[in-house]
Amino acid sequence: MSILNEREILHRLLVARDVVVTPIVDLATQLGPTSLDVRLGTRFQAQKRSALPYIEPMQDEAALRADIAAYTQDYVVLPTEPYVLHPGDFALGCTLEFIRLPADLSARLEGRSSWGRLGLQIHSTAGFVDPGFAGVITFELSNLGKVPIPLYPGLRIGQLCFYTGQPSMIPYRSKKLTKYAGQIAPMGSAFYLDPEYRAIRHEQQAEKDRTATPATD
Amino acid sequence: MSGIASPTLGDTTRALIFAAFCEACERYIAVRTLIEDPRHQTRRQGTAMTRLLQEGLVSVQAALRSAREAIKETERHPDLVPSTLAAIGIALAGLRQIHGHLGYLGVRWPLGTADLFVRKLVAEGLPLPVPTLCATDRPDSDSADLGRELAARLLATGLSAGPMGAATPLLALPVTDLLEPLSWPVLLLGLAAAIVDADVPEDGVPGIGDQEGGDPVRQARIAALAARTVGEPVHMASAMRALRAGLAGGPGWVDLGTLHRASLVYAQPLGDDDTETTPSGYLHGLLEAVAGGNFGWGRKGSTHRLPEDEALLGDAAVWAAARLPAPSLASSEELDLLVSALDDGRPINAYPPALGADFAERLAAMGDADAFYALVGRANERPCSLAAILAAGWRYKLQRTHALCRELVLAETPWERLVDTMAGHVLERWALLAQSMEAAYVQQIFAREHDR
Repeated sequence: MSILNEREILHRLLVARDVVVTPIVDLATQLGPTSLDVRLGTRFQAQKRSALPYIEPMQDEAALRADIAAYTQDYVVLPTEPYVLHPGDFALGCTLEFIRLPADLSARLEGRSSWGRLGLQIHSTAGFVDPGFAGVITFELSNLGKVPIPLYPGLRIGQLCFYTGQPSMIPYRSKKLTKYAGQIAPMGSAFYLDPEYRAIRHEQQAEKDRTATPATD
Repeated sequence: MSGIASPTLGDTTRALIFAAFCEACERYIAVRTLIEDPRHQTRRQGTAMTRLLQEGLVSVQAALRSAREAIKETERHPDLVPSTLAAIGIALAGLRQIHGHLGYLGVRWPLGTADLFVRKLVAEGLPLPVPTLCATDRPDSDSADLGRELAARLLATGLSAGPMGAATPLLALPVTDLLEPLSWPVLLLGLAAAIVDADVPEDGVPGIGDQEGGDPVRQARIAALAARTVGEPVHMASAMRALRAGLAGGPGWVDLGTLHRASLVYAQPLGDDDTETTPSGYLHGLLEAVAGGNFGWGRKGSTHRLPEDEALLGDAAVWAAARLPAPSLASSEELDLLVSALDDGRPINAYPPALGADFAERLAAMGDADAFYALVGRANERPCSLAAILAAGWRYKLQRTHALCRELVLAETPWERLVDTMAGHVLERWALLAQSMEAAYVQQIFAREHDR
């Protein structure tokens, strides 16, 4: 697996055209030696306080979605108005760019130094983009500093590094369980769709049934 | 983009039936999406209202299923066309009633990209202060300025009311329209009215809903300005809305006849020879079929240019041209490109760069930083105008969505699969169009700065 340099990135974007990144606003400022800067989009999902004690993942899906909605608020921010991320706040954002990768290319999302120095973290755990991904990339925004950070759409807050390898047989869009394929806005966590919860739910039910059945001597 | 038979040719009524059924399905999907939004279910009244409205949707679904069966019958029995249109109208009427109850969910509807749309219109040159949008559960909101509407209503009750809401245009948008970017051009009628009315005395000027008694000069100017802003999508959005309102028994609210005739002058010109099989031909044919359908609005059936139109519409064109720059319309080749991007599931916020034939060679030969910057300086994308995004969106709808709907209706597709397939298709298209407008708006700001 090797990292693409600026010439290879340009080739994939503009000659082979098997990598889609749109809009390409200003390549002269966005392209680095081995990276392409990406911009902040207009959509955000913030977490808010709720009377709910916690999100119970063992509920049915409709109830779970309602509980998650009680904790979250969606915003579309105008290009001339900032989304202000206060110290200690966490919010989801997304790239302005729609991105599509071929089966032989993965990408890694990284922050940019200027923003890191202000305390802005753009992802906490999920910086890897699978081969075959299509959609906008979600930012997991945190302000680790002590002053509020105004975030305007279009600012270059992240960068993508591209890695080439053997083509995947199960690129993201072909995977059996894809929760965020084709997303074009920040999507809240769909953790409850993981099959592990179904297994635990079944086991909980079986346990209840066993408890309800009187033991026989 | 050829091969779209104009509905004015031979198969008019069947094209109209499928357009109407497709509209009904799209409205059903929009209303269902709003009702199923989990945000309503975080409060007790929201949960109860959701259940109630979902029961209402079951009735609408039954009406749509009946209409589907009736459409199939019209294949063999063309005399059933009127009753089939009436069946689609029943479903649409049901959706209007449910729409009128959405306010009881107690939700503050976020304006989302629709707000950004009107701001981008102003950024693209519409000579108005930034308009204010209000989401409404009134499905028949006529896009007239709310200040004028309130003043008129107060006057009708015998109260005296001075000029109201004059600072910025204040417009209402039905909440289902918030989801569907292709419906937003109807807002231009209200915005154009605000510009027209700024030029004439307030007293005695009728609202744009008063089409029968409306001042023809005012109507022509509104039509000319609206079309000059984003082109044909104004007419398509107006025609579809009028079709829905007409079938569902809602009030007519716009002079479609004038709009249609004005479109011949101010929007994208029709092709010369193959008009009847181009999307433009289709748009105008559909408008003609809708306006000629006696659904109760405007100068019924008078969609052909009248002798007196020449002076009226010509003057309006000059008047509009003095106030607005020409719209930034996409060429036919560019539209083809944008439609194929939608086909491919990509947003249409920008045109690809026009690279020279030797670009690959120059890239391979690039040896230093100067060569790099010289090469990439001309390799950026160009942001699309709202006119281009909307035109491509409408073409896609007429070509792909109507065709998909027709195919699903006529095949033995189980009803649930028909609705799910249509929902997946239209929700993705709406989201892509909204994303396109957002990205194009942001990119335009940087492109403008780059050009300074």
